[in-house]
Amino acid sequence: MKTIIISIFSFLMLGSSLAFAQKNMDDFQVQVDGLGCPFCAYGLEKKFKEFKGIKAVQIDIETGDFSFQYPSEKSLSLIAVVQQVEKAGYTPMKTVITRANGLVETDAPLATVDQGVAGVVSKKMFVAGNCEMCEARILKATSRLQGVAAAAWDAKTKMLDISFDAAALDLASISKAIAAAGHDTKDHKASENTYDGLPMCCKYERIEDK
Amino acid sequence: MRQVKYIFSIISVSFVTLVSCQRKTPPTQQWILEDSLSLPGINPIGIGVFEEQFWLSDGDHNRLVAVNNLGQVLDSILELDRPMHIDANAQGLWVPQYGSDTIAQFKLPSKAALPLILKDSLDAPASISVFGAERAIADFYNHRILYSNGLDWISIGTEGKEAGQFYYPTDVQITADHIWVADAYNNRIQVFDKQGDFIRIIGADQKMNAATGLFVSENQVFVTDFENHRLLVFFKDGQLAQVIEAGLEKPIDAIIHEEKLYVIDYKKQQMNRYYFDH
Repeated sequence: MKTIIISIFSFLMLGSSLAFAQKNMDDFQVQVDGLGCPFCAYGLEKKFKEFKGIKAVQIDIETGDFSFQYPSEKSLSLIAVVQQVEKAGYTPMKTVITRANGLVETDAPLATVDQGVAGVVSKKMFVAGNCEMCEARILKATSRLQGVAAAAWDAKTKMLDISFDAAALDLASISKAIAAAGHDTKDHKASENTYDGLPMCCKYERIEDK
Repeated sequence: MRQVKYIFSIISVSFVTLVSCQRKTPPTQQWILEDSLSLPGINPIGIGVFEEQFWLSDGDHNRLVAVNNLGQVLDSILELDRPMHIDANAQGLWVPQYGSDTIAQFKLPSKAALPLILKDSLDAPASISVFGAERAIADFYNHRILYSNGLDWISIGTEGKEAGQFYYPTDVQITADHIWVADAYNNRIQVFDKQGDFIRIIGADQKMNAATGLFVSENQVFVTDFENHRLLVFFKDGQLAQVIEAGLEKPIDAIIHEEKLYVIDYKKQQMNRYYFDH
């Protein structure tokens, strides 16, 4: 009888401590775009696993779903997660944090401009890059600009097709934003630091200075 | 009029010369796509043949699978940690695990992993090659190749773009005289002797975009050009023999088995078979 009571007590204690442990972890779900190269994708997973206290790191290459748990006491912010994923060279499209206390945080995308609206123009621009991860990064940089209606980049031709509201935006600003994300255009070059921070598959041949 | 006749005769001579030159050129021996095997649910990264069975590493799903000629999974080894470019010999399968920084040997039919004990630590091993008692490992994040002649280990290369340096090596193969390395993000192949001395670079002029996989046959070197959707075939002296694009999207490894060339495609979930047209 004594043994049974001890067993039940131990089981309850284990259950409550597990529940306590889970309640003290925040859940992070990041939708990552451009996971075309397994060496890079597994690298992201591997590098995140090295963070002290991180648990349940998972990455689904097919869907781009990247998730992990982190101690809530460390109050890891949404911006810090986005920056960390970007620092690793990846492009987070949407991030959702479910805090241990049940609060949910997410980053909402900017409202886009309707392509049919008067004043929307379509332009082409050369943007250096290599792969699907480059494509995701370039398009993310354009999507952050107010006034962009649509954008598409071709890894083969390196040409960006972009439609935007000419009253709100110009090509020079688009070019600057793309260079700031790490990709050379004919008019703006990415900084050495930003270029060096790109993952290996994105190390494109740089545009020579004029 | 005389000028017109002169121009006409030059054009005629040029045309005849061109046609006769074309006729004199012998037909090129080439690899031709024979068929494609669909591998639903498998994203292959590495390929090896053990006892006439194709084994594929499926990194996305942390497993190795043996497939038949219908693409059906006949056998599997589960719960691996991102297995990459594998190798096989009479002793079984050799599996680099990118996620756990380990090399495991599986003496089939046993599924128990036998770890390869190393004095040095690895950071994301991407490939292993086994040749008799010799071993070579592509140590991805350390930008180096570890090579053992069966007795001692040496480290080949450092991070960089010069000859003899690497920028994320992803595949390695030992042959009788040399060590061949897919220097992935330097977009080239490098060849070393077994003392670790650099011999030559192959494919630097081909504008590869991630030379991810490598296979060296008796006469040729096969390189998967991952982002350019093609396989490059070189002679061992570095001369380009053929560019294969048919049936490829994200080719990642290749092997020759019974005179056929097999190329696996990570994105298309496919294995292509090519025959050599003599």
